[in-house]
Amino acid sequence: MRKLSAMLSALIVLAMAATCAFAATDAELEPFSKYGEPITISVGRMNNAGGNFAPGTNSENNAWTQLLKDELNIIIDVNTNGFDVDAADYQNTLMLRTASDTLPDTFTLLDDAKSTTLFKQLVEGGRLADLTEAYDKAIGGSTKERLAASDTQSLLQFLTVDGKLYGVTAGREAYNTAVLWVRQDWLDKLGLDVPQTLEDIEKVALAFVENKPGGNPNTIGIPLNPSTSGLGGMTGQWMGILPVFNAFGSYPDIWVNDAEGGVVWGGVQPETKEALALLADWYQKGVLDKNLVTMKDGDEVRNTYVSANGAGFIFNAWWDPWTQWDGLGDTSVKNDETIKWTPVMAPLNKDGKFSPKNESVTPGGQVVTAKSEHPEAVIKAMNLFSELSLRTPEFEDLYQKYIAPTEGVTEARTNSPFNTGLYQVQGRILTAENINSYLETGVLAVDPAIAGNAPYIEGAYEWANNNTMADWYANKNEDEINKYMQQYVGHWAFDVVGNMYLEGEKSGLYVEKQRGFVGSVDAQSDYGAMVNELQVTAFMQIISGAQPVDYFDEFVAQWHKLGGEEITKQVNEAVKGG
Amino acid sequence: MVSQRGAVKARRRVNSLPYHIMMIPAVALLAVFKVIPIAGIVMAFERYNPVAPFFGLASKFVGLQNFRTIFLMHPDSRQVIINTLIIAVSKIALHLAIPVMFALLLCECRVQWLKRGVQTIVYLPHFLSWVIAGVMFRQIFSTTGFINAALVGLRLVPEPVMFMASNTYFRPIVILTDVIKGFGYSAVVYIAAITSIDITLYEAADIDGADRWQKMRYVTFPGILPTIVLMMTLSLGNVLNAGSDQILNMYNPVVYRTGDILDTFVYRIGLQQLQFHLATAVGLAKSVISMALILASYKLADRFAGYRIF
Repeated sequence: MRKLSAMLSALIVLAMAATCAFAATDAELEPFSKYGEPITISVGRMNNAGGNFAPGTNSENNAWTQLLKDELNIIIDVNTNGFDVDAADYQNTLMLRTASDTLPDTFTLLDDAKSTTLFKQLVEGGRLADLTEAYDKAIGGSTKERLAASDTQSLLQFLTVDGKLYGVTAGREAYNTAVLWVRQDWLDKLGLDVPQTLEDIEKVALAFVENKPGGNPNTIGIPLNPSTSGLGGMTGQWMGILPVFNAFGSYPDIWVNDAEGGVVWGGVQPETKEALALLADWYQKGVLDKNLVTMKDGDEVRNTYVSANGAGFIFNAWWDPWTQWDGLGDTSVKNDETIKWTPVMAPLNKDGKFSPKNESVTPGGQVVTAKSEHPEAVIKAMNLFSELSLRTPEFEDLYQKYIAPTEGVTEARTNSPFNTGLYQVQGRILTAENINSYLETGVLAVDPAIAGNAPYIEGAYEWANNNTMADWYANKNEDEINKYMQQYVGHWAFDVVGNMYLEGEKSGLYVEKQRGFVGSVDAQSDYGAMVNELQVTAFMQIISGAQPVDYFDEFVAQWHKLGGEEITKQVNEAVKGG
Repeated sequence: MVSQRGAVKARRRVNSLPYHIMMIPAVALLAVFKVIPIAGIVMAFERYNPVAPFFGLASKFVGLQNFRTIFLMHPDSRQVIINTLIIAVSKIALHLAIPVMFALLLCECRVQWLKRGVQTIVYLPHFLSWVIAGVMFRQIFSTTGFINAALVGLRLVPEPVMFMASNTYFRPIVILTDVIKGFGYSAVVYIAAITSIDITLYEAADIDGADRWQKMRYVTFPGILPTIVLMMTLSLGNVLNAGSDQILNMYNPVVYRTGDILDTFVYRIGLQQLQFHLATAVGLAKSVISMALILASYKLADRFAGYRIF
């Protein structure tokens, strides 16, 4: 017995020693202080399709990693202990790394149901570092100010377990909601107006189906991602159909506040039934694709319709211009300059508002594994990334040194080792404001070197000035195309969409629906997967007519019975308790 | 005498040694991938957390809770079991009947090159993976596929039929396409059995004045009957395997009602969503039932076909 207790105390001492070894000194916890010795952090990275590395650079060696090395003495390791994989392989790689206990020091947790489960499992298994102290001390500069001004409580709710913080996020960028993109050239051809309401959309979609302005005999109205993982492709940003649900005041993928002050799941509310009734009607009328359910995934739908001149609508977020530029084969704007996509905030709800869910407070964030020796390093890197992305005057020299455009091409933000969100929003709004005033007055009202979101503003100005594609078309060498791609994307994604959100918010057209709860409860790990699956299946069956609309009531009963009731109970306790 | 027998034994041992050595890799594979993982069964009784070890603190022991959740609470589990049985039993029945008929007819064919050619062609689809075959069949049966084009073109139906999204057609399509893909391969056994029938029996039948039909009925068929019985009893162990790789590649949410089977159900709610304990619980239940069926079929095979391993 004595032997055992001796062993135990030895273990405790060892454990304490281990803890001490990982504790950062106060100097190291300073937000912008440089480490005395170079430290290495391994990063699990999702290779964003928008990230294109200049010749000679890669995910381990580019302007951002150079910045970290010079300014903070942090060396980024992607290829040895970290990884850099495509978005499609990211989740599986994380699972494999988890199972083999080879997770890198830090990686990004996505915001889907699977990541929620993984996060809980990692915390329970003691694999994640407690960042509470590091977060308090190491956050600095304008990131700190901005977080102080925003709703940090709900921002970090998801990453907090038992009062301890297990990840950092500056939130996701606001205005990240899907809008309706319409083929303007099709509308012009048929003499139709840009649709606003559900009725307009139906009318235009049927006109598209009937007249086939793109010449594809299999033209459909609205393409829809048929994926059934998580809550299904229909709730996704890309090729989802959430705006249609939102137009009915239905939010099938989030917790919402009910009239009694409690929190309920949006998927089982009566508004959702109304939306499904319309979607089922659309399916029968041919607004939705009749082959929807037999399509394997979103890519198949895109290849069959969107990139084959067979669809004039797509729901997607502000980043759709990247796809429009060269993600649609022959129908990419790069290859066919007659194609023109216009974004519009539609469909509007019965009050005439466009009201998607709040996207800036979402689950997910950057987590650090317990074996990382410098958990605060990620936060310090985040500080620096934010300052440079925002181009705050204090850091202008660093911006010029590392990130500023060389020969018209900027180091993309997506090339940085990890993405900590938020910061580009202000940039985008400023861009829109700048361009507006520039177009009105002909003078740069704000000095773009200070105010703008640097990566795109130069191109966007030029674009606004010329407003024609003839130039890039005449200069079709690769460098020029890259440059003009930034301008095309810059113009549509940042200027037009940014401005649309800005105007929408000013005029009251755009009203974000706040989430009732962002976090996870125990019952979600037990039943979450099953009730989600139940929901996707029921929705697909109702939309495609395999079940009548009234089947929704049966689904709601099953949802509650299968664990939804328990989850709702725990969520409400969590809301009241926290 | 004794020493002679001992020498024979020793020689036998030496002769069989290479075979035993050759078996080592197979036995090792079996141990690594089939025997050792049996310890993972414990997951079925836990709320398993893949981050922690099986018996770690993070995985909570929950007894039979997982079985209760899946088989009693989930509204779809009963339908899933029914689908599994219907699809598997139909497949087993057709995988016996069609290849036997095919083998009988093929052996009546006297043109050698035709016989060989047909056999090779029907044998080939077996080697296509369901990922590819699934895409092909989905295309063929889609609203723009050639079956619909033919039906509409011949004015048999007013507008294209959604075969793959129809609870009426999905199950038959799954069963038929599986048979189409596999019957050539299954027929090989029967063709071999027919070839091994003693030629003198046919000569005797000829002398008795039997025509071709009677020869098939009274000579060939009884000749391969033991093989048929053997194949039938052996396939009993597959009653709960309805072919997940096929269905995963062909189904969609609309036909879950008729097409969802145990394996796909487990794949969706267990593996895809990190609920390994649920997947293990269903897998374990399936294994126990399959084990019983295999034992039963072994006894039956012994009784009707004299087939024994031990």
